Amino acid sequence: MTEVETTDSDSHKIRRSVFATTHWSVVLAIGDAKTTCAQAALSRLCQSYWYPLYAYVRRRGYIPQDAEDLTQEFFARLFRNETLSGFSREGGRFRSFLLKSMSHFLTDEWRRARVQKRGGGQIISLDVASAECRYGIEPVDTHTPETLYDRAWALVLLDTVFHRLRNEYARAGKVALFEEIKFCLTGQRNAIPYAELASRINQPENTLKTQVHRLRQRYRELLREEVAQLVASPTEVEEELRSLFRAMS
Amino acid sequence: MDSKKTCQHCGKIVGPEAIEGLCPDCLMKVGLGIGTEVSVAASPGKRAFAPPTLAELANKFPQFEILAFIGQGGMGAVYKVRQRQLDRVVALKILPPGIGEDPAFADRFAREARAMAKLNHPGIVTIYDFGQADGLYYFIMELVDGVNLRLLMQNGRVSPREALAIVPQICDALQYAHDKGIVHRDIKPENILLDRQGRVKVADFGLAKLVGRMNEAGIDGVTTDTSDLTKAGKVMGTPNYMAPEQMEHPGKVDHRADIYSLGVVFYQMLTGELPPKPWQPPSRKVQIDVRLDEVVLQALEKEPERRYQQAGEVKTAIESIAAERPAAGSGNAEHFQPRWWSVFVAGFLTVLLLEFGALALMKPEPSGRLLALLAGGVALIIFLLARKRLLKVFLAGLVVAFFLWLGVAGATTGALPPGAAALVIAVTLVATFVFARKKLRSSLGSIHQNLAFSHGFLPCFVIVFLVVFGSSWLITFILPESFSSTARIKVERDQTNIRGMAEQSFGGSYDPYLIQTEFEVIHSEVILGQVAQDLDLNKEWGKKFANAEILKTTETISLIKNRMELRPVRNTSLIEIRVYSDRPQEAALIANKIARVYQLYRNEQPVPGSSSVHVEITDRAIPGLRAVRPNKPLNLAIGALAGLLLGTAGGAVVSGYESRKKRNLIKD
Repeated sequence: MTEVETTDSDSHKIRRSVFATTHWSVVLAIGDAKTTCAQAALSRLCQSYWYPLYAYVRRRGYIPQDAEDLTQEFFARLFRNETLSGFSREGGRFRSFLLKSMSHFLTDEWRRARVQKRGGGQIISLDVASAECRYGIEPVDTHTPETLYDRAWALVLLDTVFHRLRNEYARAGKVALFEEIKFCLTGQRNAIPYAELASRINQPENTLKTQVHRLRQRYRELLREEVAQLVASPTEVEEELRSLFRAMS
Repeated sequence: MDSKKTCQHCGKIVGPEAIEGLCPDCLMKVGLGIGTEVSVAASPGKRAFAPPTLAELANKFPQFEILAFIGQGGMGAVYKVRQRQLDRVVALKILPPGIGEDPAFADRFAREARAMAKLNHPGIVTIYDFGQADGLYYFIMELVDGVNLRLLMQNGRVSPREALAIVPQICDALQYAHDKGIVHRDIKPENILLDRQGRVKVADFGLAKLVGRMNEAGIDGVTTDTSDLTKAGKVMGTPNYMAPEQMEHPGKVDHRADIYSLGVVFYQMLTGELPPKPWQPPSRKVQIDVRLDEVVLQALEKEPERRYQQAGEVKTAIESIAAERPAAGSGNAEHFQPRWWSVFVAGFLTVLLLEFGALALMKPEPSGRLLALLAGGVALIIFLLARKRLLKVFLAGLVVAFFLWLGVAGATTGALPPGAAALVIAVTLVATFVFARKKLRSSLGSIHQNLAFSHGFLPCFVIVFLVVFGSSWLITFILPESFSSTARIKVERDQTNIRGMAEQSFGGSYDPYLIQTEFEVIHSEVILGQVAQDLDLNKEWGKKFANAEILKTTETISLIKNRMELRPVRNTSLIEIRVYSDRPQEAALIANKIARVYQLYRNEQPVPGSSSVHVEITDRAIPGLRAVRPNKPLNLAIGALAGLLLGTAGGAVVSGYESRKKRNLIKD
């Protein structure tokens, strides 16, 4: 598993694990979080997607200190198999499962009205400082905790996929090309100024078109692959993508 | 970095959350394939396709007099033009310019256009001609002087009457095209035009297939699949109206996708909104006929197999609803369909009568229950296998009645523990409601209506109820009562130890073979004959049953056997002797006598072979206080239930008949 640390804008770093080759369906099939493979699978999933949870907790009204403790405790419980009795019922999607579990967890914690630091070390490494920076820039008014969670999740997803894509190009020795054409990943194809671009990077226009086409194609495939790992069955991939899309707008 | 940058494609602000400077929303759109459609609303700044001006067009098409620009959609721009030669006013549709870059496109275009041109139907916008002029692909089509459905719906919803007038026409058009093997793939309000006479014209048939792949596939020029005009992974058409299978496997779509889209449009016409994710039947939102819900629901089925298979079926369904709507001020009155209700009730009653008969006429023995159990089981199996709807409903009635009976009878006779009986009843009722709630709601709704409207219902209901309930009362009190008494005996082997002394074995072990053999003995003529003699039953029963003739012993013995039951108590060495009689004292007397006679017999006659058998009377029989048969509460309950249901059914039939007589055409 390779990890890539990159700098986004000047203010924060976020660690990404690029090879999230684990499957939520595997975890579901195993059914028991305490086995080693399930643990490995879960920890890789959670390591990638913890930030949306953290943002959710924060939006629920907890101060950073408490949010951190709660998130850690939640993961600890998750790995001790305490929260997972409901997960086969929740079935399909890791994202909704995680959200529901967290929301139940928070309700329990609220009832107990205490937030303690539990022992036992950290299961997932949470880079709280950067998370706080990132949280600080989330739009304030329009989001409920749930929509914020979904939106953060979508962003993490896109981010992960983007970096996977880049790594593929890097391994093929085509980093420079990637950097030049990466902006072609957005917008409509007709809007891409092929002629201009072709002359800039010194390539025939037709070859360029093929490459852009391949880039967008591969991006879509990777996106679906990544989503497939977070749902229980392949038929749910499109539905999940559409939900995320709706969450973003 | 300038954090106030805006995305050039969607206009949103691209903040620090951007992914390497790219706008996340656009990234997502590309990932989904949604943003690849030319859509005016999403790109305020840059349009992928700027329609040519009238002057430009005039240059390219000298054979036409360009009159006006009509509009622009996802599939191109439309102009009103006059064909000079023919002197007729038609519509000219220009496809977006980028489309033509793929050399293979010309072939596809021609092929598709020819297919579309073969569609000659009053409900479909006719294609007159097609071609290519200076890099621009175009169609000449029928000009429709009117509006599209989108405009009509902009004021909210369409009235049910209008919707019911529009949709069948769309069905006709779709059916015609499907018969010719052409699927529209992009049925949406913008594509449904209405002329000034209210005639429907469906436009852009087949265009989605042709145009949809142009945005991705054609540009590198190396795609070779000319046979399959669709490519997996491409999202074509408008997402809101697309069938689920169209989004997942765009290549495997058939005509049923159009039926789905039609369902969405229908829904939107009726309610003014798109069907929301937790699906809400239209009748809950607006005042319309509840049966339209079913039509919409079936059109919107996720799996194509479960939808209407032909557009013509949708039309038939709608027209039959439209024809049967009675005139009523609120517009909500429904024509009651007595058929399925009465079938259900008939099935229910058949089982009830079966059980009733079994209880009343036969002994309360396992054989009666077994028969009922078999009947229920068979009904269940046939129900699961049945295809025809009416048969299914009939059997559903059987099954429900059976399980209800099981619960009620089990509880009152003690065959089932009350908890289990309650559970069975509860589960049956819940299952019935869950599976039939749709039907129940519509039928209950109509019953409610009919109670208000029809005069026939109430008197019929009351009469039938009284008749049925009354007769069950009568029968209950006519049937002779019988009481039961039970004596209990313990039958064990004496254990002899090595010193030869008899020792009793305490509890724990018991010998089932011993119990079995002793059963035979207790049933035997030796014992029963002795009982008959001791109690002088020959004479007594002779008086009762045989006109004062003295019975023969064999006859008496068989009478006793009919009235007695032997039952082992599980896991113990106890045997219960139960006797039935129409007099409680007699029952107790006989039971105790049998026990005593047997005990004496065993004490004198040890079992040949090994150790002797010890018989002890642990419980003497006492006269029963309540009659065991007939089960009065059960019978009365059955009678009441049957009365209710029959009354409802009868009343419903009557009022259905009445409202059918009052049938009117739609008036608004």
